[in-house]
Amino acid sequence: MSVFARLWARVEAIVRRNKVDRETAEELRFHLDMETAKLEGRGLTPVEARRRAQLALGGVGRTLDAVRDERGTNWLEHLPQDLRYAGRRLARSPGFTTVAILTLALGIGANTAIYSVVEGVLLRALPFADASRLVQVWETDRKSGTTREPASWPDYVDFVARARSLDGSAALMGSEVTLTPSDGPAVRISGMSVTREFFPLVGVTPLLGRLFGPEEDRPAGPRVVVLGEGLWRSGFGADPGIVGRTVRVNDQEYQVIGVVGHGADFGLDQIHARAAYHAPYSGTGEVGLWTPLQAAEADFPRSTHPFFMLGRLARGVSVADAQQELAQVAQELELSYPNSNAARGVHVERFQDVVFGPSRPMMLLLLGAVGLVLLVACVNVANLLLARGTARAREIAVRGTLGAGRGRIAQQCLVESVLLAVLGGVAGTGLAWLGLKLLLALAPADIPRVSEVGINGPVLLTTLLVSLGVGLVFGMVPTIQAFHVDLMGTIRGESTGVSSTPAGRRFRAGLVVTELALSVGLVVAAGLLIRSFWSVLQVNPGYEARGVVKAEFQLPATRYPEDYRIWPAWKEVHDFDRRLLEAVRAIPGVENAAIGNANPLDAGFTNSFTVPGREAEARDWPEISIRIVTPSYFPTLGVASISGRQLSDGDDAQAPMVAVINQAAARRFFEHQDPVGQQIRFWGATRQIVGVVGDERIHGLTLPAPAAVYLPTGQAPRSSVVFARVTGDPAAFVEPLRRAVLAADPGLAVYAAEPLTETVRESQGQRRFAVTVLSAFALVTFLLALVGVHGVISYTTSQRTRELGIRMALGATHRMIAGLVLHEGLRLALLGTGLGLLGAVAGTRLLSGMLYEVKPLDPLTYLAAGTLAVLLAVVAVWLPARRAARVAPSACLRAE
Amino acid sequence: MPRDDRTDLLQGTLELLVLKTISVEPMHGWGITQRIELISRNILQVNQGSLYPALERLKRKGWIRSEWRLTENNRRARFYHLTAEGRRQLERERETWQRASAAVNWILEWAGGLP
Repeated sequence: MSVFARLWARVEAIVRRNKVDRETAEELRFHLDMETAKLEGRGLTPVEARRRAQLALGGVGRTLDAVRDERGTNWLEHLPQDLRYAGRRLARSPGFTTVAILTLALGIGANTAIYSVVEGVLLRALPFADASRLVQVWETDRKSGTTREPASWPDYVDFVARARSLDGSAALMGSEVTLTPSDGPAVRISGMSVTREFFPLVGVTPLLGRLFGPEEDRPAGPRVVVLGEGLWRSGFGADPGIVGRTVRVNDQEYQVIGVVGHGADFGLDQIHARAAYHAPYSGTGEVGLWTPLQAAEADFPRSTHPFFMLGRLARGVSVADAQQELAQVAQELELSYPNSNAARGVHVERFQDVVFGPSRPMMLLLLGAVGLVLLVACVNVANLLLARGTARAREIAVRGTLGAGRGRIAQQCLVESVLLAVLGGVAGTGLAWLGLKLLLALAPADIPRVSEVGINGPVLLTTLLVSLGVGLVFGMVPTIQAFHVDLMGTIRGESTGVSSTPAGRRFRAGLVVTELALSVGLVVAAGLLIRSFWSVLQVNPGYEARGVVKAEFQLPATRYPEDYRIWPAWKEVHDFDRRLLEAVRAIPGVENAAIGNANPLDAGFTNSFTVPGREAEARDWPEISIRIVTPSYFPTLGVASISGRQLSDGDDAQAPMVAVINQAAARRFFEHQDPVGQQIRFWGATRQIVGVVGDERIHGLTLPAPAAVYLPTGQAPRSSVVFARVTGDPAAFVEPLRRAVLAADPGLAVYAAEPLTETVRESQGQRRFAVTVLSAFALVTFLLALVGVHGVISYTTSQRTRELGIRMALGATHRMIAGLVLHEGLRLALLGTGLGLLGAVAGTRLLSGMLYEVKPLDPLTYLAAGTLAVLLAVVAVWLPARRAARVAPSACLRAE
Repeated sequence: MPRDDRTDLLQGTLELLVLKTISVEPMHGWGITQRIELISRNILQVNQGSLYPALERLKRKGWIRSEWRLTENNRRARFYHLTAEGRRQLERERETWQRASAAVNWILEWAGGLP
């Protein structure tokens, strides 16, 4: 019989067990008839013959039962009975049941909540077709060492034309655009410009209308737009007749040609965030407006790198193959265009890795941690069941002597624990629902598709399976215990079951040591993350965020013409800057105000440059970050002046061109020289360096400041952020600041208006999330473990009442008795803590990517966690120790 | 929890005897008991209560199969026959049994000293 046929026989036996039973019964009847006939033939009366035949067979019912046992369907027959019985038993001890269900609910609920996040973010199928074949093609720059840069337009065109390893590709660029509704103020919207190949590449089809065609995606093509579903619903009331209407974007009319559903922008935010020089283009939600890229080399020469290139691997082509081929193309381009492409290569990365790379380790860490929470919860409940097992030994002994087989008793134990676990799972799902709300409120927005997370079918199914599994696992403990019940001894009252034997005590102690060890491991992990977070908070970012409020905006080219023939004398922009600064300074409580092109947590953009006289050397220099600021920026943001002078209001379009560099640039490019007085050249202009300022960590708190140059707005107009240093609560200045921007230009969409400390806080969102959640898990686990320690010591102490009483009767003092109990507890605590610390040494290696300025083996954290664990465990043991010491010896001796 | 030590002890033997009995021709349960008693000249008494669980066990292991047929007296009965795998198993068990019983005999006839 094949495995399959055997399996089928099994299934058939279960599904059709009535028929199978009937057949067996008929078979047995036949047997009885034959045997009866045989006996009658020997001269017995029919009645006597029947009786003897039945005796020989041992009874139809019993034999039927034995056959069923062989068939393996009997457990199903007994299930309803066992369930009822387990329910009655649980109802009879509500205290135990409540504690067990709550403990399990905590463990299962935490798992459900975290798993629903992992499922929604990592596990769910991607909304794109052939997502596993999608790759991101980055350009690299060996000079600056960057590995994730967008491509230039001509490079993109050459890659597409020459690459055989890709069978599809698209270029895209995110932007922030201003949408001006016919009624109401302008709003900032996430925009995305894509080549017409993008939607077909990722397999997105329109909900309404159509997508971009070749006649639209060409230089100077028509102004058309595809709406995202979110904006279509929120901004246009899901108008089914939207196609063909026009909307006002960046002060120009665009015709709506279609609408795409949620998920069309999947991962694009993360791609932008991963690029070496670019901050997220928005991070504030779904792309609302899609426009055709309409790129041409005239507008986007080979030296500028604004476009993200997505590709689809041809069938059978690996990432490594594509990497090899595209690197070859990049080498050809290096030779053909040495000025723009020297030292430029490619880096092919799986789309999924780009999207999930930054959040996957954190997710897996939390999943691992929450697994430990569940494990400790299980150990606690197993311990509770063990303590009950003693009381139960007598019942099991009675059942055993009455003929219940091992299988039956095991099934009863397991049914009870599974019932308990499923009840815990139900309660846990309720907890998970609450916990998930909390998690999502805490979760940083840069986790991909975190908004889609919810408790759904797959999550509930997993919870059910986990509950069943948990029930079976911790149900094994009392089951095995039941097998060791000494039937006759227990019934005579000589033995109280296995858990009071030395082996039983060791087992319980082992459980406690295990849970203590697991929780100490988690506490160490949480401690390391907390220390890292603390280090991040202690970082001096080079600017003083406290007391600063900011608001962002974009000046539309329609009203602020970008005429490069007269650059930098763009009167409209300079006038706007003046009006805005006046309006902000007029707000009572504002000490200083400044305008810039990026906030200090925005990496902004970079450019290549030279120093006159050092052109050959400069060819190997990385690009420099360009910051455009009003002279008041440095005092407003509290950026230190190191040498030379700062920028001044006199540095305007008519004055000689000047610049200020930061210390990182001075170190990198002017080693052993005084940069003040030297020249720097880019954008076709030579500027004199007039001063050096302190480093601002514009790549984020945990990354060193890159080389940067600061230009005065008067000589490089480009305004998009306004800052105000205020006295008093910065939050109170958010609205006045927003109104000041609108006073300078009522048509602007003002966004990201918030205290700068809030921006800093959000930049650490993932870190804060991981720290908070992991700390909560560590706390819960640790408390559970302490409860476990307390429970076991209390229990073993009560088991030793007689022994302790004898000791007291023989002259042991209260202090000695307490010491005895404390000693046992301390031994467990030390063992558990020691093992936990050892485990942490092995396990926290996995954390190293999430740590900042703290080593995975940070001695302080280990020492603190270890000390805390031992101290609290002693406290947990103290109560039973005191109780033991207070009992009168006579009471002890009578206790049993 | 031991149930019935005697059956446990005889279990392996009973299976061997059942396999051998139906290897000659397909047979129903009662027929198997009668045949074993007859051939063993009534020395071996089959415990009828453990026969049917044993048949179910052999069926589950894939060594025998059953089908409903009419007896000579025109009654419906469940007949058991060997599968190919069951035939191989019978050979294996026969060898094991013969080796073991020969060994037991040597020991019983041993009168001291080394052979």
